Amino acid sequence: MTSARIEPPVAAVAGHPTRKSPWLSLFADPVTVTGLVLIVLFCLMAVFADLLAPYDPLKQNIMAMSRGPSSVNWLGTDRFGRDILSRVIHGAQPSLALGITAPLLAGVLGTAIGMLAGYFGGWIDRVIGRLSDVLMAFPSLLIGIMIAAALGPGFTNLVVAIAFAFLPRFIRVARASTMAIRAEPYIDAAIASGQGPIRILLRHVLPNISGPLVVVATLWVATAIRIEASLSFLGLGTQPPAPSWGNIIRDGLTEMLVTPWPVLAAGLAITICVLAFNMVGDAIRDALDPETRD
Amino acid sequence: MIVSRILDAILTVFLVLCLVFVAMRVLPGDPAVSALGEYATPEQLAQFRQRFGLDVPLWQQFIHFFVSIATLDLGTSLISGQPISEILLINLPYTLELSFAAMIVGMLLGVPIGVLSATRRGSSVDYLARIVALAGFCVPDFFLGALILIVFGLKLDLFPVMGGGSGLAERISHIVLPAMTLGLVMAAFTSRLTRSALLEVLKRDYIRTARAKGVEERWVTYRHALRNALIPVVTGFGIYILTMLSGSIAIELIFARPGVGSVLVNGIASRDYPMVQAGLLVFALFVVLVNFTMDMLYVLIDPRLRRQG
Repeated sequence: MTSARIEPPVAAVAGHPTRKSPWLSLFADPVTVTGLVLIVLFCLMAVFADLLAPYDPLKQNIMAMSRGPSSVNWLGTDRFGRDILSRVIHGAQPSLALGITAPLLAGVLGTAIGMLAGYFGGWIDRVIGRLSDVLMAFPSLLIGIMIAAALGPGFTNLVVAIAFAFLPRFIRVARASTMAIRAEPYIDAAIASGQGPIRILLRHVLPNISGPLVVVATLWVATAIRIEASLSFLGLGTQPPAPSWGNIIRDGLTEMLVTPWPVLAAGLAITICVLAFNMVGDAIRDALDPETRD
Repeated sequence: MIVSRILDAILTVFLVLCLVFVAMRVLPGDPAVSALGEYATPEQLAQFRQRFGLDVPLWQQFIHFFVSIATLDLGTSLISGQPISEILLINLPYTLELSFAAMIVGMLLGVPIGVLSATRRGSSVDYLARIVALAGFCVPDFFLGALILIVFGLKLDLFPVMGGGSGLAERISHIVLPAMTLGLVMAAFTSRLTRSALLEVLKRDYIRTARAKGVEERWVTYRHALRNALIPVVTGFGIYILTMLSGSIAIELIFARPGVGSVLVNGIASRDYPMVQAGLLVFALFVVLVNFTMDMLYVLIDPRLRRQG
């Protein structure tokens, strides 16, 4: 007992729990990990599509049209003799590119508009609030269709259309969170210390409202992928011959009696991808925003 | 209360019409170029703009747009030359009957599954219901439609898969598969909503009181809990009707059904600019109408809202 050090009792340590990052808890849940693994796989598939795909997705082959699965074409060919597997692999590119850029664009714009409205209030806030209420009443797919129909097809137009459809969701969250932060004493302190509104918004408001906004953004990735597929299916999204999961299904409809594989493969790809983003989105929501947990 | 809701709806209609106007005229993308193609000559483009009043200042177009909607004069199709109001009148019933049928399927399946899943929380029934509900969100409606078309229409050959049919019996047989598709998607949403709303209500004090009084469990569920749980279900229902309505566009395409969605999609494919505008208009008005009806229903179900100013 010569060198006896006074150790703090264990209870005292437990009473002051070390705070684990909410991001770490994501890796504890097997469902979330499955979702993350699937997302990584889909991203790899999109990035390395050229290496992974056994054939050129655009190359037609008149000798092998509308074939079922075989050792040469694992998922068969479409009515132009193009390899379905290669097309489905390449089809991940527009889906993922759009699934990430559209919520990102909507997030950046929506946060800026919502923060300005929530911080300054007044008639600008009322107009913005009213407009986003009206837009919120529309299903995002319908707004996407409206804008895409007006702009015409093409990737940039598609991003704009879907981002616009998501915009009111971000404005609403950013606006409400900013209004809550605006009432905090440290904002008054910042104003009193002579900081300008832009500086206050960027340095004091934005870091405090980014949590819920990240949640909204991740939750809308799955929806963005679904809308991209729907719009491409309707002929408003990715234009043939470039493959996307939506237009592979549309193309496959005409020859469904001969071979259902294009429809099945592309449909399953969309479903699994949306499911994966949905699982991870829900988990991020639970981790960052435990109050909304079901 | 009701007056303010009507005023609200009128304001929304105005804003929605503005949105359609902006979408069609102000956003980049010249309607003349999109209708005639990139290789049209300047003379052709000028002629097109003159024919559709696109050469006058924007504010005049704006007034003209509202006048033509107020007088239900939506112009004629560029492709068939038929008046668009006529085309819409022919197609509208098909979309309405499909939405109605799908709504019934969604309600009849969704609410009971939700109740079952909430009252037997944690059971295998609950898990199954929740997986189905998740699938309803992840499986795109048009993929589900294609699967149903392959299995029930083509392989089993149970129902017709093309067109809308004429005569009552034919129309009913034509509506089964599309209504089943949209109804299943709707049931997934409804069951999820019913489940969470009912679970929320079953936690309340008055439910505990009712049970403590010795009220039979079934009576507690249906009489005390479900009635209150239905309020969020009805508001959510509005959103799902609209989701389903936008889904009907793809479903009409799959089953080659006539309808407003087909008008819109065909208009887009054939660059028929007045048709696209009319299709968008109908869908936009649908949104306003459904939201307004939902607000009214809300008041009917929840007596507390009736007394508020």
